[in-house]
Amino acid sequence: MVDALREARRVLTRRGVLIDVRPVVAPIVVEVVIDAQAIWAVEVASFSAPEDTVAADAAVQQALSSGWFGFEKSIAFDFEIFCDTAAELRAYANARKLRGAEIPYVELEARQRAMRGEGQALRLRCRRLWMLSTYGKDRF
Amino acid sequence: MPTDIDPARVMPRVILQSAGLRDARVLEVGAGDGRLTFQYAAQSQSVIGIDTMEPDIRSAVSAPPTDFGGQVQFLCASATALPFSAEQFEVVLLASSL
Repeated sequence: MVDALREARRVLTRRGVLIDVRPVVAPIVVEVVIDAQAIWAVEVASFSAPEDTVAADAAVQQALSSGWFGFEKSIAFDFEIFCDTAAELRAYANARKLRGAEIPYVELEARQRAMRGEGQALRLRCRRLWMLSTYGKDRF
Repeated sequence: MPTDIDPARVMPRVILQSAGLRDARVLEVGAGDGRLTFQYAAQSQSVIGIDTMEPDIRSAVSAPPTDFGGQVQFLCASATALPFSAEQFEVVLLASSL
């Protein structure tokens, strides 16, 4: 990871900007929604790769302390995924580093089925906190 | 209805707010299949997206949105050995790739 930051610095112009955007190690919120309005929600722990996050943070700290970049700002935001079924959500989770997150697929299916019985058009929403940070080269 | 990833396009909006991409040459590391790239690239001078996953890069190359008018290239390459000479980009975007 430090090598990637060194390479990023090399290819950036003198006043270039590095943008680092990635998920935060924080609970994921899984919801049953109607028109983006949550009617049931559960928070699940994300064990997708906390060691990766620790290593990435350490690499960034090393780059900062080495004077390669200067911190500018951070912006937190929710990243949302909408699915029709728990099976779709599981496929997404398995493909996108959410493997290991304790998403209660069986309960989601049951909730969705029960609420569908009431004639409502339901979807599943998975919300995860992400952070975007920017760093300037040779600006400090 | 298929899985909708970031349907409100929050991530490209935050990226565009965070740095001036207008007239910038952007290198996106971890571009994958280009889903994010195509959402902001038209606001920049040019984007080169790289990823180590060749199938994703093939997918990105073969499926630009029909209404896309930006300058985008995709390459299979590693973040730790970038195939570019020094000082070529105004912005390097690490897209969940650290």
